[in-house]
Amino acid sequence: MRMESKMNLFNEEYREKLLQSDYINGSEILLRSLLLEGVDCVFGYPGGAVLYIYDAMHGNKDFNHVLTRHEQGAIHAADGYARATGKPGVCLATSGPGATNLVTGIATAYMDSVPMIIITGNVATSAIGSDAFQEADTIGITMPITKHSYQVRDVEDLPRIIREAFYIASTGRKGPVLIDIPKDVSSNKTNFKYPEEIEIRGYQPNPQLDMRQVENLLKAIEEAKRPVIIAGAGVVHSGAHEELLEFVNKTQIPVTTTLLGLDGFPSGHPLSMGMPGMHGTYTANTAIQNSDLLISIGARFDDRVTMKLDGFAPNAKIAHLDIDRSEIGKNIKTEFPCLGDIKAVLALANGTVKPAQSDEWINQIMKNKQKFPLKYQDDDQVLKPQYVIEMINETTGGEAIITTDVGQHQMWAAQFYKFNHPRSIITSGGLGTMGFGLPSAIGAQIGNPNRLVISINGDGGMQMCAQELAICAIHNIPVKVVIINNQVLGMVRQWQEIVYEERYSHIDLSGSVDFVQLAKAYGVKGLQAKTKEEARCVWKEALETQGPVLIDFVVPKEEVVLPMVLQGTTLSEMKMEG
Amino acid sequence: MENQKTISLLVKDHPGVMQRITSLFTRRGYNMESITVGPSEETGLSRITIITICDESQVDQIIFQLQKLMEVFEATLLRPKKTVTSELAFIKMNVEPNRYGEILNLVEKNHATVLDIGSKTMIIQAVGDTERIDEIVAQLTPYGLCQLSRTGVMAMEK
Repeated sequence: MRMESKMNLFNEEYREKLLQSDYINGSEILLRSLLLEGVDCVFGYPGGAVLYIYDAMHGNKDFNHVLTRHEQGAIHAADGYARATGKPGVCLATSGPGATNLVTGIATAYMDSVPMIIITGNVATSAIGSDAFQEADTIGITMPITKHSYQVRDVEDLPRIIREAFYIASTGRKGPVLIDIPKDVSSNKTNFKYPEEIEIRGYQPNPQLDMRQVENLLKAIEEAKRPVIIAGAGVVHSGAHEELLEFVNKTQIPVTTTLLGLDGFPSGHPLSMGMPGMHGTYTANTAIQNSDLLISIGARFDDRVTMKLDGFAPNAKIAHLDIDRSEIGKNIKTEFPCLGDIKAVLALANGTVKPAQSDEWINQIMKNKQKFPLKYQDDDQVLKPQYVIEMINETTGGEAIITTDVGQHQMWAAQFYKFNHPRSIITSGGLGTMGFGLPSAIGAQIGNPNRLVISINGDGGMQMCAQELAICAIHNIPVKVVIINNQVLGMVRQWQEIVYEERYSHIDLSGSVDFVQLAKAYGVKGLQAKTKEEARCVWKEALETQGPVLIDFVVPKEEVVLPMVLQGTTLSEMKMEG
Repeated sequence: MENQKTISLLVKDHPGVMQRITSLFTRRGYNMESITVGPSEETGLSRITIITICDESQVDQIIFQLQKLMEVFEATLLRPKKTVTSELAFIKMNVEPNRYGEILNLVEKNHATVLDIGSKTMIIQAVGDTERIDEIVAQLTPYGLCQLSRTGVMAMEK
């Protein structure tokens, strides 16, 4: 489906029409407000408590709604849309089970600071608390996994709440905001009035930059001999990739990019060292361990990055640029805090920053990059998973949007796909949500109709949201759905092999489904490859196919993701060989 | 207690606010010794006092996390030397009438108040800082303390 926006917000006449103070019900108010916020697609699933809302959609040509096959599909699709476009993703579900089916997706978005608006129906205000049919305490359940939430008790409050929700979701440290709408609120009528301006007391999304903090950072850089930048998701969220590139070029500091920051800095840049952490590159991890100044730019020192904290970057002073004050110093003592929007901080710093004294350091890093590249044991007779990712990378030149599921294939995609542009990797980093890969690709494609979107999955996660293949077929959403099929839960197998002395417990997925037939059953073209030659051949066919394609790459189960730092050890203790 | 910290919050008086705050403490594993809440000087806003036991670095983190809650308008760590604190306790005594005299003496000596005298019970009100209340409770316990209800600490900076 070509999800071309059916309305044009710049069309003043249309906007005026939406803003008219008509006497309408809560559902119509909701739709108008969403249109006024520039929403061009809502992912959802109807049910009893949202019937008025779906009734208002009926015959409304301005409003785009994608009916997924599961609420989990809807929320991950909205998440993929948000990550790929930077605009809040919007998701709609009914009360009770509809809302609880969203929980995993809300937590996924919350962990990765993705702007989302989640609208749930609820039983009528008079029935709340009576254990009515399909009643659940959605606000209570989602409280710890939302940036904020509202239960609308009066239709009069609805426009303001929607306006606030969009503002909160998309400013400061972004995140999901939930609006719970009881059924009577969606049916009660009032005169529509959309607030032009809102003021939320106590909410300061953009902290005032502290010049002293920036000056201290710049001074520390000037004096540093072995500086390292860890760039994270904050760079992408803030739209600061250009400022980061300028900052790196001016300071000559080598950069490692976290899983969610892989697309914040061009991977082909000479100073790019790849990903740090558990499956990070030798160069990045070694640089961190030897560094004297470690500058986090929108990265939150996640445990998969730091590994054993006591022993992480033992010789480095820590600098941290972040928009969220609570992240600075949360996991690691920070000598140079720098609070603010990363784009603004870097733009300011770029005005006066001087290079670090890092020539010798850079030489050493260049040597490491040459001597210890990411590698795998290729084999002419066997189709290796890493080979598949390399092939995808070569044939798309790093220009595709890649969504992944969670597990080994995710790490191989992170290692072997070379990202060049922001908003190109869409992956569940913080929560590690299986089932995310396919629906997020649908959302990413709808948000970017003209870009190539490739969803890379394992055979485990693929079966957690496979029902959304229907959406690809029905709306002709041309996602290329790749399955790295090793017939096991590969990452669990890898841990069981290395940590649990090869006691393989409940990881065998062989014989579960014929993915090619599954694709066909949904009306999606299905291809399979078991050799390198077949892989090249079917991948070419997939890229030449106009619509959606599923490609099942059958690979051996014995491959492990390397390097690997075992839990409880430091980044200095990398396992380099299988 | 050395690591006892007092946090004062100004929050929107709105359903669910207490839940957001206590849920934050639970989720992040923060300690909460007591929490008191009541109306503030501004209509629609409540003031909450939380007593927590943690070290210096953690208390900053708690404050920053509290400040992120949309309905929390102010979250401040009160400086012990500049803060007055107090709590209220109701103490119900199960006593034989022949010991009333001794108890009333204790009440008077401790500047507490008797709120109710029944045929077999007596309710005493005590106000003061935590140590003071602890002391009064300790003195009364041997006489047959049967119920104790404390408000938790309220605090205000000078």
